[in-house]
Amino acid sequence: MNSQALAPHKMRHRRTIFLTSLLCLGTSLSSIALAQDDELLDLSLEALMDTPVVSLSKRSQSIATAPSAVYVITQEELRNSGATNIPDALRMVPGLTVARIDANKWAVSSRGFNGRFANKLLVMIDGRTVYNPAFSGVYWENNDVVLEDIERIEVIRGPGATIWGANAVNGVINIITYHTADTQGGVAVARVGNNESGFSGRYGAKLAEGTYGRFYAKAHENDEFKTLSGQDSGDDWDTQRLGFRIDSQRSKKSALMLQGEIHQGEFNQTLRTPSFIPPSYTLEVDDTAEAKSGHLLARWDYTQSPDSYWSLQGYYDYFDRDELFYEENRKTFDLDLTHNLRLNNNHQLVWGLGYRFLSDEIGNREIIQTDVSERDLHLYSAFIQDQITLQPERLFLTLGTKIEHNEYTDFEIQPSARLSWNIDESNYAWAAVSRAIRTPSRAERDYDVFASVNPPNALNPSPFILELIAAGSTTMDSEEMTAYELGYRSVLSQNMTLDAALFYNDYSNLRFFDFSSAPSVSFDPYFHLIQEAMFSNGVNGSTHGIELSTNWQVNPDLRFELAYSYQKTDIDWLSVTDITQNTDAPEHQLSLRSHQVLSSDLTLDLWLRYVDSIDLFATGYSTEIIKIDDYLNLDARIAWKPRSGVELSLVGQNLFDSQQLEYIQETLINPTEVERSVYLQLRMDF
Amino acid sequence: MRYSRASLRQICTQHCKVLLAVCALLLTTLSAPIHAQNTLNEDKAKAVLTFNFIRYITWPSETSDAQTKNLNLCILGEQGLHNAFKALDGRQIRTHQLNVINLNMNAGFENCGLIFFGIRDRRIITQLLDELYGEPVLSIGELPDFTDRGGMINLYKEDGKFRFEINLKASESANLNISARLLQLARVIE
Repeated sequence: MNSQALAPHKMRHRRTIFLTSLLCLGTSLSSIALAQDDELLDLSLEALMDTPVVSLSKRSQSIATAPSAVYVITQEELRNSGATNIPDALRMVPGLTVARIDANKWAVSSRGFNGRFANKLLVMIDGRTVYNPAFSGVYWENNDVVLEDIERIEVIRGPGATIWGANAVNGVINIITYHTADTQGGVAVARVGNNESGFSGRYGAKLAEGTYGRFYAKAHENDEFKTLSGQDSGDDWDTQRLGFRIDSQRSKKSALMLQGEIHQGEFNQTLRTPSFIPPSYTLEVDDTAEAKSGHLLARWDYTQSPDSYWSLQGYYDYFDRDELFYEENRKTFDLDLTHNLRLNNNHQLVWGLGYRFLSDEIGNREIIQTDVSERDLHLYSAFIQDQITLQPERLFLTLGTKIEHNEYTDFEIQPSARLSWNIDESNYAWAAVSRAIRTPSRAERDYDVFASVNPPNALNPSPFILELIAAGSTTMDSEEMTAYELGYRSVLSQNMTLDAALFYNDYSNLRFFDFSSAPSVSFDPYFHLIQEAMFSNGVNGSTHGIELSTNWQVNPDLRFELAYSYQKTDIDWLSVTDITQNTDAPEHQLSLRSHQVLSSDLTLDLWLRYVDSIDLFATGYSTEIIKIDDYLNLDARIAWKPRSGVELSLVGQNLFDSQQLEYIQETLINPTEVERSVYLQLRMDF
Repeated sequence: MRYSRASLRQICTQHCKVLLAVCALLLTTLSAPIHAQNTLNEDKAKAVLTFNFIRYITWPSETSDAQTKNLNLCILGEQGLHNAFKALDGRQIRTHQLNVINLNMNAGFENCGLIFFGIRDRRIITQLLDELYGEPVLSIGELPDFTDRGGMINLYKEDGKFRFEINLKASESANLNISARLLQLARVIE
């Protein structure tokens, strides 16, 4: 699936975009003198308390000293972005690819391998995994957290398997909500728009000495998008959720956190299912996926001494999804113990133990069937990591490994070595080598998926109609990766930082379709052949790329954030028929955001994004590789605070294009274009 | 699904136009007068507030012998905050010679006369405050539950302006004497 060589005119087109962007940034350079410190120190307390303060971008002033490619989206950035969901906000992170499949589905991945079933990215909300082990991916539409309660989203590109375990291959996303002491009082947000209307509210209070809590509710309705031919795509949806969180400092040494949530959603979709009716051999069917989920999580933090602290976390998670082609009911119980221990000045140790119990029930449907309709899995894990000081405050080596035992592939070992170098106060460099694996999903082991009906074509060399079954296999093993990474961060000036990361990922044992079994014959509904394509491992390949981000606080009223990534993917597929997962990433991606204070009550945010074309494979839609065109788009947000505690904002998203195809789901979903959207939002803090 | 040459030219022209429009917009915004001239950078405001607190608080070690001694201001937080506090380094208030220290967790906090908690990690804050309790170290923080955890002065914002609350129990147990003028401006927690 190598990308085709760029035509010269296309190259020129790209170059123009980058040159223009650079020129734009370059000419904007100017220096602004700030008030003299001496005068400030003469200010009286009364005068100080009467002066409004502005917070500058934290990122433009300091560098994170973490030996991995980490990017943090703060609450302020989340709010300024105008994004109404987490995937859309993730578009600002260099190296991440976000594509909306239809109104209620997203493909999100880090460093390639994107898809609805993007199986190499681990996502967690407050320490609870939302990675679905049956289809190995994330149902983003299910995890529609109250955005106002998110303190930050930490995105790590590259493996995080040593700490977080299997499936943290190409990245880890940690969504972290506020401590309840930070969310006292009420917030109500109401939104009306052409694509989305909704409400969310939260109320937080001090419940007792040292104990705080909040209660929240969120509901919204989203309109459908359009198909390629401009018809309504039948993918409107609505979700509702209710939840709470309580934090309690039991003593100076012990803190308790408890949270719970229930959620339900109805996601309409237009399916394109395989069928025996010519000429398309597919059928468009209107369907509704009904989802219900909930969780209860408790965490206990215990500080034994300044050099030793423990964290014990347990949660129960319930998940149910019912749609025409598939039904899944899943219960997850998870227990994790972590201990941070400073042995001496040279060794900072972290170790942990984990146990996860997964219990599911799968309903047999026309498209997806299984002989094993119920499965209980036990996952045991342990990890240890030591940060060794090679040179005090300057040079550190972090060595660690995770050891897991799962019932599919037995023991898995995922070690890493990371070197961390504080060159000086404003320069930092790191390097890492790590191994990570992606364990087989329930589907890859146990399901039979009715994938397509093929007349003689590229996929079907026989003269007969061929039914293709993607068959799970008990021999399906883990996919493996070794990652080599280099990173550098620098404070370029008092108001500007640079973050750069280079990576080379070496994959082996990637999943492909094994067609070696002999076809069988069926007469239902008429004579045809049945070919099993068995999930197997064996394809190798690599990806490499660079990710850059820079931040520039021009003056207290204006800042820019630029993110750029380049990636090349090279997978040794033998033929198109091998392809069981999309690997191609946009070669170039660019995000340029500006945040501007226009007056004391008015701010303007602009967000320009360029995403290069990708090649992808969508069975059921086409037997050939499809090229999704590159695109340039703009979001804009203007916010007005007429008085304290009230904010009115007008947001336009995808302003350059009324309909933009970003992705086509690997199977089953009709291609859908993302619409331009405009909404008005009122936020009240009380 | 490939571009034809004509449509490509059209798209390119369109994209470039759009980019130029965005540039023009950004350049206009850049040349616009800075609104924030009457505002203060948050980190600087914190440093100046701290400077003022020192003016109105007496440490038990302050004696009448008028001998100048170092008062170590230990700062926990990001680089921007450190940079802002550097403006206080070497300044003198009464007999205090201010000495700003970048307190990362590896350095000891034994010699601090003041700690500014510009961090959000409640575990570290609670643990440090616990160890400092009763010691003549002024603790300043910026979390709604900072005083709950034994912190002395907590900064918070109201309508975009700084306010502060003082935990008298904590400051009294540390023998820090807070002037009436400071208490007047604060929300006092008994």
